[in-house]
Amino acid sequence: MRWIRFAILIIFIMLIQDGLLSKLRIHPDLLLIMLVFFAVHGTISDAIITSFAIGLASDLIASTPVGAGIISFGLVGTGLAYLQQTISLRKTPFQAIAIFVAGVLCAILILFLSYLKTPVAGDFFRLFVYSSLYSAVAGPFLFPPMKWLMSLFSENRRFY
Amino acid sequence: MTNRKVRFNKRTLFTWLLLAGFIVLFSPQAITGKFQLLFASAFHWPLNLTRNLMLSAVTSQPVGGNAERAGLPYQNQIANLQARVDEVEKKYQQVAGFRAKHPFEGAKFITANITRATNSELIIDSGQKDGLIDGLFVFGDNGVIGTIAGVTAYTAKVRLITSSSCKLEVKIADKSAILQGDGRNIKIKTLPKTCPVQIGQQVFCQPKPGLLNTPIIVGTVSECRLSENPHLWDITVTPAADISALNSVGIIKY
Repeated sequence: MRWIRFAILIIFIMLIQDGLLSKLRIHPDLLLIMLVFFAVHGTISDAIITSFAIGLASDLIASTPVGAGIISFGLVGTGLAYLQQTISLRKTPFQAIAIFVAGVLCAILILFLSYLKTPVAGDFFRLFVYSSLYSAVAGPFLFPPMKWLMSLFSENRRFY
Repeated sequence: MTNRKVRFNKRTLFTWLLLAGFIVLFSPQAITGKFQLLFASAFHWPLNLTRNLMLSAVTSQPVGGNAERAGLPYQNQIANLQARVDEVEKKYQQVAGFRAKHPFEGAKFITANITRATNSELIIDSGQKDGLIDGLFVFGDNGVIGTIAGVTAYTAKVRLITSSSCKLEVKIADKSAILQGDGRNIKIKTLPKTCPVQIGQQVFCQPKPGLLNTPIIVGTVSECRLSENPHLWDITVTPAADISALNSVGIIKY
């Protein structure tokens, strides 16, 4: 895994998500797409680390308590990486479904974990579900550029 | 030797990271909130640039809309002055010859740019170096939009009135009530049914010693119906300021 490239990509996506997309009420969650991408394309160890890292990134730009995203994204990403060993998620429709399901699961977990600390906004879950739907539509189209970026200058076209 | 890869057991790795997540989750919010402020502070310039870019792209500009938006601070200022006049008149009636001070006399007005905005909070580019402390009132379009809830050296977090964790003591129909957000709207659910409330009625933030010397407009009543408790109103308040369109805010410090 190219960790420096991963770090640059995650910061770039955080800036786009927080700066450009945050003004739209409902928008695709680029970090969720990134979570599914690394869970599907990486090894299990890489998927575990990237999932928790993406969760931390999500917490830094969200208004939910810090920690809820780390745990939720970590659990869902790891689960997805193990699932990938049984069911292949390389086809576009499966990837879209995986993004949507992962988004809903993350929303449920974040909502539950947030209630342990501070109650979050009433329509948080609804917004997250819509956001997951948008992500599911946009996600498969963002996978090829992500894959290209991560495997750039690599001889065997692999990034892990 | 130099190319040796460090390999972790998957389960150990997962357990440690999960444990770290729980530690962060149950750490005091005053500490974990600083991480969010740190990110906003570190990437202040690109965040501001992209946010302003998006703001100019998504803000609809109907005919006459700009004029209406430009007039909003003045309308709120008129409401604030009217409230001040009413209060001063009351004081004159109570104590003959009493000379009230100017509402913001001796106060320092700090302006700050918004670097990040969500439905429930803002991150601004002023902090301890500018004299900000927790609890200070934050203004937008001459109306109260929230309070400071977390400060670092160069940034601060504003808890908006729409946030479910923000509770403000307000004055409506000459009665005190508690205003609380629910993530999207602002609600007043503590006002008895006996108080006459009308749609369009203005809601003012109650003065707080050392933080606010005069009532300042928070919003206007947009919906009013009986709550589950038949003795209390369920009032929805529309904020006086167009929070989503704000680029900068003001903070009053006495």
